[in-house]
Amino acid sequence: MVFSSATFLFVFLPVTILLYYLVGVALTENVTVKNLILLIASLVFYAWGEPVYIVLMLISICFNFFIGKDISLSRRYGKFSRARAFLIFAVIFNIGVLGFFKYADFVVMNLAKLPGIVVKPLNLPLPIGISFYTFQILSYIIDVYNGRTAAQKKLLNFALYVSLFPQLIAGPIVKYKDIAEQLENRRESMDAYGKGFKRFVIGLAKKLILANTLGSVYATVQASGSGNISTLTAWVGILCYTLQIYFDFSGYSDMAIGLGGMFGFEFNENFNYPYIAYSITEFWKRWHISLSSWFKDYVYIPLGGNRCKVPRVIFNLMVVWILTGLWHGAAWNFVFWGLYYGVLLILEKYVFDKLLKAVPKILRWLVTMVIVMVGWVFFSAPSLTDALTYIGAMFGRSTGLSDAEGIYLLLTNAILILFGVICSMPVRMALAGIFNEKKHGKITVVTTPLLLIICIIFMISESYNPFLYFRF
Amino acid sequence: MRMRNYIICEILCVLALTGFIWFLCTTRAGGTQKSIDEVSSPVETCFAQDQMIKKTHADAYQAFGIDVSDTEGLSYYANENVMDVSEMLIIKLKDKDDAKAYKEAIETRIEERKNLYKDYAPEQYALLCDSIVNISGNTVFYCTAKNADELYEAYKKAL
Repeated sequence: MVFSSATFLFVFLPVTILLYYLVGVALTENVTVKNLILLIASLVFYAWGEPVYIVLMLISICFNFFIGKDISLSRRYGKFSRARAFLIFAVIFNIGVLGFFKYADFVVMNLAKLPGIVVKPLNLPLPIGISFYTFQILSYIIDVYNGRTAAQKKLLNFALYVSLFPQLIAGPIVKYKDIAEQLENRRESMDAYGKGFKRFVIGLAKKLILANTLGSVYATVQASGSGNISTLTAWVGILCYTLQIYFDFSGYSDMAIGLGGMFGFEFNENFNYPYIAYSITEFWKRWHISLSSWFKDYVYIPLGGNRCKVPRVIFNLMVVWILTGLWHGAAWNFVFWGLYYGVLLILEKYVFDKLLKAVPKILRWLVTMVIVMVGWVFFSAPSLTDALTYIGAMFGRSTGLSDAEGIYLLLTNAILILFGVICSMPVRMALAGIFNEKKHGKITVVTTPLLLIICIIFMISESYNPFLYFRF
Repeated sequence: MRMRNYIICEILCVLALTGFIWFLCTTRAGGTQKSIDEVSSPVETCFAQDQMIKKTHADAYQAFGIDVSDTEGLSYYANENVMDVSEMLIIKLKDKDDAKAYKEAIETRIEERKNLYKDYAPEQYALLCDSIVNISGNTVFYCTAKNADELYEAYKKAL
């Protein structure tokens, strides 16, 4: 089930809210009842799209719940080597499951290219959200092992942490230690509900009004074929994709954070206006923050982080970025995309650091945006060859500098692109600063329902349009 | 004692996982849960301009003899120009055991068209020779096009 669907908006969400507030909050005021309602709702939400994979998620929940307890008990009795063995067992189990469902066919298809090897891919559908919930589970297991958090005592609470529907299938990746207290003790309020609802509607608008419309422009460019487009068309196409992926993914995160707020949870922010970044390092501090922070906490720092000699830091960074690329998809273009950012971050850290500080800010921003847009080509292209052809078109190896298609696309979508650019900047925050809180509240009361109505109109007129990050 | 109980639970989970994967591999390997539109829409975005347009189920019946009621859904695209053999068909089957029969129907059509184009349209004949026919569990894919490989890759990703 997707948030931007009629089933979710008109059936699932109202029923869940009604049950939660009526039975969980008003009648019983019991956190166990509230959690049980949310768990059942989350399992229904997950099973809606992939009924068979709910079994996999339940097995994973049970296994990690028990092994978390084992690790905790081993630590309590001072048996650290035993705790370490359980940790290794858990990591192998979780990475093994993720590897089997996400990467087995990629390995098989590459092996099949070698002479004399005959292997067939399984072509099993990817369990939705597996990359997100596996990383959440790993954060729990590692934090329990390191003593950063206590093991969860109740299976219900742990199951809810893994399966909580707002962030289950496309993040943000919520670390257990950030939400542990809220699983046991949280208070809902009208204020938090209102803020959550507003945030949800903003996310919905980002997805339905902006991301989908911009996406259709990029789809038109893609349909022309990377080798048959002018430089102008290539830039218009990738600019639209750059905005589409931001509104698509940050829109989903807004909806997740908003829904969490409506049920009394507080999730950390996942985006902080990444397209205003002045460097690649800054971009990655603002884009998909929960993933970057996961890799920092559970891969980069355990490898030694930047407290080692330069060659080792470079190695650590490359490991993190290859894994980041692979996390996004089992294909060579994602590996290359990860390498691309790994190399750029290393260059920025060790080679261009002083130079970047001397360059005017506007130029730094422009260079950062071009690098990011080239990166999105690797991300969006069906294959590495396609990506390189498209980049060639962007930088002159095209049918010409401009053509009728490029000019037509630019002129007919200029307002949309401009609106997209404005909305990707912190303009809303600047506007909020102009009005005082009372005025802002009054405006919100009018604008939020209006925006929801516009979203519903867009939703009804749209055909199938999944979130880009669902495939991860 | 408690720890021993947990270990038993973990072992049971591992056994359950093994059983689940075995079940998937024997019953679902190659299959897809997605609807035909979810599979064909991403492939459609890879069409070259004016390459193919979506055709009706009646057209699919006429071309391949496929009755749509025997399938969970199908998407059929072809070029309007009779001198262009480009076409693509994706069928999601109710029963994956029927896949072989559908493959044979497609191959029969390819052979018939090869005979038609062989002598007077060598370029189109070459495209037919490079046609891709693939069975992935409950889904059958067929494509004749200049960028058939690209469309096939997009299809595999969409599954």
